[in-house]
Amino acid sequence: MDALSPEEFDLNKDAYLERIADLHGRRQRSRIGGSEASRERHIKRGRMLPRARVDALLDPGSPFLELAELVADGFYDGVPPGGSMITGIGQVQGRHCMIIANDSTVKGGTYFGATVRKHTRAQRIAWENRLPCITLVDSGGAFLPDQENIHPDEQHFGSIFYNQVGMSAEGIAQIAVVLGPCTAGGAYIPSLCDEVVIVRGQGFMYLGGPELTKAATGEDIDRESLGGAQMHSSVSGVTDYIAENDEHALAITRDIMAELGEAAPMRWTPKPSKPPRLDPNEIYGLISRDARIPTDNREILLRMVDGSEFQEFKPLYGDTLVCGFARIHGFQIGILANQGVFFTEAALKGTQFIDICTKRDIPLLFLSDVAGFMVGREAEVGGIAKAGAKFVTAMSSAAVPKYTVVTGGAYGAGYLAMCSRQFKPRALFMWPHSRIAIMGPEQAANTLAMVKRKNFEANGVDWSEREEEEFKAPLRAEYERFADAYNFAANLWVDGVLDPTETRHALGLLLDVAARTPIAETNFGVFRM
Amino acid sequence: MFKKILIANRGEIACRIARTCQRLGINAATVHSDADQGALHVREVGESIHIGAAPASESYLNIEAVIAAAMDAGADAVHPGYGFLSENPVFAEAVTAAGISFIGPTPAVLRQFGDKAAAKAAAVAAGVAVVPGSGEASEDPDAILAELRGMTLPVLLKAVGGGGGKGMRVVTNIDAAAADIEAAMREGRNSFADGRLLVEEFLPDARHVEVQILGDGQGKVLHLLERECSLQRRHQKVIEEAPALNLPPALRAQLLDSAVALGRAVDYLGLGTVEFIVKDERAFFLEVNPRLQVEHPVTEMITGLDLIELQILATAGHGIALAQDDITASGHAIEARIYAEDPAQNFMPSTGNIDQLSLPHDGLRIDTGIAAGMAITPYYDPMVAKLIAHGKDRATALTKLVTGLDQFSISGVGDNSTFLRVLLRCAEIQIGAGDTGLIDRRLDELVAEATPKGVRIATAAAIWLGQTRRHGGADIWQGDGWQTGWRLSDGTAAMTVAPILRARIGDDVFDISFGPRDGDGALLIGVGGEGCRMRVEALDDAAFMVTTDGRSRTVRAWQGKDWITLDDGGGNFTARLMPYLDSARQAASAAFGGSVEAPLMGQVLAVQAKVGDTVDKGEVLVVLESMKMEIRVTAPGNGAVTAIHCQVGGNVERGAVIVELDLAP
Repeated sequence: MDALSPEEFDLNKDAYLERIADLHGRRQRSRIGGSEASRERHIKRGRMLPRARVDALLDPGSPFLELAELVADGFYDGVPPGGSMITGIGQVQGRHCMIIANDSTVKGGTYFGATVRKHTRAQRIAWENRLPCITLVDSGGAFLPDQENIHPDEQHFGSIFYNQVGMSAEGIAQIAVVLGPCTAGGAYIPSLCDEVVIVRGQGFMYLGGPELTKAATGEDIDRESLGGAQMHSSVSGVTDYIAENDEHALAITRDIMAELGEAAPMRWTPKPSKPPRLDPNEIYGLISRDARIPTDNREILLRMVDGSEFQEFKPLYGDTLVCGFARIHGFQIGILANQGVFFTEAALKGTQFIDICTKRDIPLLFLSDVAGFMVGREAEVGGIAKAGAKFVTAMSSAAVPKYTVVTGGAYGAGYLAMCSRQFKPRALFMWPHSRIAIMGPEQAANTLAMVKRKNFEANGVDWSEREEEEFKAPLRAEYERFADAYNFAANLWVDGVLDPTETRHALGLLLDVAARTPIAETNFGVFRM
Repeated sequence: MFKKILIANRGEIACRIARTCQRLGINAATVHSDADQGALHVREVGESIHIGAAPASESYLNIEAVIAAAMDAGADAVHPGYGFLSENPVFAEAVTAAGISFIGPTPAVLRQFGDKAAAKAAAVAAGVAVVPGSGEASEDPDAILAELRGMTLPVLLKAVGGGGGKGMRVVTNIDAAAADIEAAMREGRNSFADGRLLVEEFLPDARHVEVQILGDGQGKVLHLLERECSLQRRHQKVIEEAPALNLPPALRAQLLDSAVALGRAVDYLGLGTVEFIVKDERAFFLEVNPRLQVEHPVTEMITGLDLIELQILATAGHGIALAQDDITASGHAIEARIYAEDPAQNFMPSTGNIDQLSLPHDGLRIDTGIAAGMAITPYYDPMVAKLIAHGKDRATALTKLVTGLDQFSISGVGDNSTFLRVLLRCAEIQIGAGDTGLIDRRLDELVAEATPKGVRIATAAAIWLGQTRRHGGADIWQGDGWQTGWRLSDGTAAMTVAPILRARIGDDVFDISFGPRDGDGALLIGVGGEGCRMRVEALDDAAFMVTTDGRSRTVRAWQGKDWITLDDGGGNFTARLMPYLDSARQAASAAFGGSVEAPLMGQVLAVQAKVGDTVDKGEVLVVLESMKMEIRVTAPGNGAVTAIHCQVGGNVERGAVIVELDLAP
């Protein structure tokens, strides 16, 4: 690819910095939590704000990789992005763990459909990475009007329990801290944990609260006797430790975390981390501000890896897929980055590269920016479907940890082949400008217009170009809206939107986490030869 | 001449005595307790005999054990140093009875000067002015109280066996006098096995001037000039210098003559110090210390003499080769005593392992008995070192001493070096106008000035955090500085919502928050609501370059799991650090669990509560003694005593639960 002119570089950079400011604005809205009145009420009652709980629980200086912080943006009235929950990976007593915290300043910490999915997604990540889960329970329970997204299906509320039991069975510690009332299903979240801390006079657990009990059995009982900390810790045995306030509860939780037994050994030995030799901030200027002009992804990846050192595999063959070895914060990784559409050679090269990485237990990073697989007579005759199938088989079967970052436009089968959500990468992130769709807005509009025109022609109806454009414009707009990274983040189709320059750090943390998971054997499906 | 001397002491003075012995070609051996197995004096003297358990009463104060050690070592003389058995006539007699020479005055002289009432009588007999007050010592609290009622307050109570500030109480309020009498008597009984008290006019804001004397036991007594020790904190000397400051020549001559007269009157043998209190050009006899003194080096520096050599020669029967006229002063010397203690916490002794000790190196005399890797235990005086500066004049010596204090640092225990620096910079001290009340009068402001705040604490926290994470484990989250506090950025420099770390410096508590690192590696740190951006670069294991607001400074730091000592040019301080929540748990367990912990290692003097008692918040439950301090352990809240886990005379570890309460909700 030709080098960018300095003028182009600057224009790209200015455009990107606007996107970064937009990302920051969205994160700020997410981090504020509930309304000022609600937060003040919370503090007045002697409680720590949810983010303060997370900060205090973590080791001093621990990093915290927040997940799905922009979920459900605009989905529910009065709910800021985040879905009344905070999830993320941090360290407690030197252990990596998944923290799942209800934000009771947002609608009382209610579980919306998106909240349930955020909770189960955090559990999924915890399970895959064998991360102990600390759940800070402070929720009013399910948002009843949203029951279709909460109750019936997989990844709904019951999956929270399923995941807890499954993880506990595999020796992944489940710790709950009951910081507020939890009723009915909500009471099962702590009940299904290995160890439970409850705050006196603040945490309550019951399958039916005092009102329901009165209605159901006529029994008159106060909530302290029905499900208070003292009763549960000394009579029912539902909880294990009693705390006097939030700080005390979190301190006990830290003590619990100090007794989790031997930490898992490292499967990889990282080298000392070193920053990229090429300035990561240059990524802003390298990303094309016009989606129709391709970005040089080799230049991008050099600014994400240690020392900008990249050992490229098969550089002269199948050059629309760049493959090679590098390190991110010391951890070795095999990178596959699109540099144009998939051709047969690119797919075959990628297949071989994935095979090599699985044999060597090297995790894989997919940098996804691809319009799809090549079409046309030459490609079909050359067996692109067969080559693509090999690549998908290799990518799908590879049991090493896989990570995907969408760094540009990921469309159709190209998105799928670059380890899309369906292929269960351990994490999937988008960059602010990136897009995911079944096809690009222009192609989608053209395809649909073509179908319509054929229909009109068959019926002898005249369709002017102006009419066609009027038909296409809203389609394009709808595709643009749908493909937007923040739409994907809001729907939790991705784990988050990352600033390109912080991507290397997020991946470094995730690789460090994955380094303590056991090696899994890769069994490839049948390769079509 | 003696062939072998047993040094019946420990620490710096044992090392100091051994140095003179070596120079004189006399063999030396020393003694040690269980707690001193690896002590510096044991290492340096070269031969040491184990004499018992850690408490001084079972080792360094155990006469039989010390004499057995002297016999065992084949010593023909015993040097008692200062403190311990040095002024004990029974010991001196026992040594002599064992056929060994005691390097000090005769038992009769020790007995006379050991009893403050008798000493006072001797002074009167020798024509020396004494402080007005009771002529007779008494052990009758009612009689003493009655005597107090007839006097103008404040009045000083003195245990007859007392010394070093122990057993002394100033009565300022007649209502509290009974308690003061009881406390002074208890200290007298506990420390000197004598509860009798003297009552004297209290002379506040006076000066303390003392004369060093040397006698041959045959009537020849010389003075080796005077020292000024006016800078005291609660009757304990802090800074000593020689010669005394601005003493009118007539008064000075009077003091020197009185001291020699008193020495001659008793045929004094060896070294002794006659102490005077000087107020408004009047001088009164205070007491005689019939032994070598802590502050003897300042006299050595100005006279060029080795006092211990003179003492050994005199007691060995070689007399005194010097004439009074041979003794002249050259320049000025000042000594500062560095203790392991915590000025911000009422000078509470600070025990622990010394991880690092940097002593000054520029032309100072340093007498120390401790080295890095050793421990300050609660059993003995927590002195770390004496820094002695000598110059052509006082200003030169003072500057040298302050520079020396700048270069001093210790970690693992708290210390008073910064306090001393602040003190020595006081205008009164710079011009030589100090008195015995100066430190106590200005204590709060001196301590406040010596106590670090703001950016200094932030610096300590930043270094501790970085180093703790760096050395905390093999993973990159800990091994690589960039992740410290890493978050996905929202474009603001927001700090963590909750305080993350709690720093405790003495009684002061600072809650510390962190913000994200910026691209430059600078970390945002907030201490008590004030934030600063700080970049820390490790130069080596203990040196760091810290940059804030474009200003870079090189500091030194040493740290452990829960502490850091920072030497940042503003002095040397140690902060205890713990995750914020750990401190919350401690507070919660104290407030809700009712467990009362020993604030430091020590011996139980009194248990004032018993199981079943109802106690109020603040009520004294247990009295501990650690080194020279009486520490009152009080109830954290109202409640009932459910268990007591200590007994009088027993030792408790720091942090041990000594009383349990069922606190009222």
